Amino acid sequence: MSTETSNTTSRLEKWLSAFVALDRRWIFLALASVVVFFLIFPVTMPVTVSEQVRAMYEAIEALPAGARVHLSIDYGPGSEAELWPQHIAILRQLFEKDCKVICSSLWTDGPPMIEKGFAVVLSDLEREGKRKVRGVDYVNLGFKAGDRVAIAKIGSSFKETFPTDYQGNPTSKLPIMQGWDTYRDIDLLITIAVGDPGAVEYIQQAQSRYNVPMVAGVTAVISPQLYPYYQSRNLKGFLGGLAGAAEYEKLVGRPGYATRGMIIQSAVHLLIVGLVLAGNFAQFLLWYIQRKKGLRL
Amino acid sequence: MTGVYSPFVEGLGVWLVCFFTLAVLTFLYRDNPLYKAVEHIYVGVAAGYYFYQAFRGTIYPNFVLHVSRGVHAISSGDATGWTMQWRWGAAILGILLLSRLVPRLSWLSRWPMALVVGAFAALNLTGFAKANFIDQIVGTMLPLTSYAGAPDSLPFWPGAKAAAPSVFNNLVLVTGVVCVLTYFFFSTPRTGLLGKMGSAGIWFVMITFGATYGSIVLARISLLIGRSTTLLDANLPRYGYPAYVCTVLVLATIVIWRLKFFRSDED
Repeated sequence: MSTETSNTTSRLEKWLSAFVALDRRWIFLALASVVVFFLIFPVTMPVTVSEQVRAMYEAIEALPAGARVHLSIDYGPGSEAELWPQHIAILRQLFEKDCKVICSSLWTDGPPMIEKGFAVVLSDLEREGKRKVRGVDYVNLGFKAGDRVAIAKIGSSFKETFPTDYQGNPTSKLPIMQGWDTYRDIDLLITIAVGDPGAVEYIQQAQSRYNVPMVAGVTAVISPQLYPYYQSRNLKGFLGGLAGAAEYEKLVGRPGYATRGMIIQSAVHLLIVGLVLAGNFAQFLLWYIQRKKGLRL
Repeated sequence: MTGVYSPFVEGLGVWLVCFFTLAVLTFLYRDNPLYKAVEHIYVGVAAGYYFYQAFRGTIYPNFVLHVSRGVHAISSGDATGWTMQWRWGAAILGILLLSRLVPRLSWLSRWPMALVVGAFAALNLTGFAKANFIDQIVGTMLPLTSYAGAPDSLPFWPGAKAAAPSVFNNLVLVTGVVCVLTYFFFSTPRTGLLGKMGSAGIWFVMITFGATYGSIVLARISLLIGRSTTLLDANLPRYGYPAYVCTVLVLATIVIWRLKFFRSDED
């Protein structure tokens, strides 16, 4: 009986040691399998809208027709997974509200993302019989180097900072740029940002300096940094990562890519939490067995 | 993106996206020549692209165009054109930054660098002072009790129901701020009440780190979902099933490399 117990303990110990030293590539494979499974067999799940997302939606909804919005697209294809759904949902809402959309970017990858956003949303709107004109209803001012200095300069003069738009047209001659030039003339500042320069830099150099109303869409990594600014009312609202985008898609009534991704996100999170718990439990059990044998303290 | 680009460009883009995504993911197995090749291509393309965007977005409109307009104005007898030439000063300072490449002249780069550091410091100081200091202090001055006579009072907290969640949030926030500040207060020994508040402060800090780490996991998984969705959405018959073909190609390359060319000392 004693030998049997010893054999069982030894087998358990071996199994636990193998589990604790599991090659991380098996975890990668498990994660990939879960993602692919839920992509092939999609399941819908309820999305609860958080306070800051609703506040952002209401800030945009409160804009009157013809309001001037500076939309800074500060991300590239590397963050498309999180920020593209936010970008599309916000841009569409702005066009539906008949806002004048002035886009620019502090990231070199930004201008093509702006063009892609316009192409996708405008082709959708055209199918619905709505037409927007470049230079009249929207403009892509392109990339500007200079980080915080560029933001401060944009605030004091858009036309000096961007003498031409992305297509090379003089901004001083564009109908959308007539009769205004600074952040004091902007009704809402929106940044969809992945890092530095991004939302925090816009809050410091534009929102707090010119008191311009501001909202932001950021990656999940950045979102914890924005809660203090939301608490202090520097931000009227913000979206954090794919979850924020899914909540926004629910508010605008157009579930899309982000909503589809939320079930996968939840499943993967469950897997990660399960692995963390199992790993810790196995480690503890191993320590307990070895301690009983007198191998450890 | 269907219909936005021409069919050829769209098809080529889809194939490149599939191949490069899968090639980069091979790094999860181990470092390999395919991953290295893709990494080098990316670095080269990115460097060229960044230079082009910097020229198109900043150097051309803010310097070349501005100065050439000034020259045109001067040649047509307009003296105000001279005032547009001051940007040569910025251009010269920018060129001086490149003097770091010549060790003998590298000291010249200190002047533009001093200007950059000074401007950034001044801008950060003003922006930071307002948004990160004053506004945050104002944002932490919150009511910690509910108003009297509110309807539907809670039995254990008269007059609190209508505002209970916000009062609770405010209490957590203010307690957290005070405790964390106490933890970072090193001028007196942390004993008694100060010690207990400091211990609570470290708990608040740890919970914040945990929440931040959770957000990072959320972001990384989103990227995985994004890439997987792209591969699956692109895997259409009209493109010739690029995800399947590229998977086979990439796997075959890795297997051949592993069997024929891999040396264990490479690890």
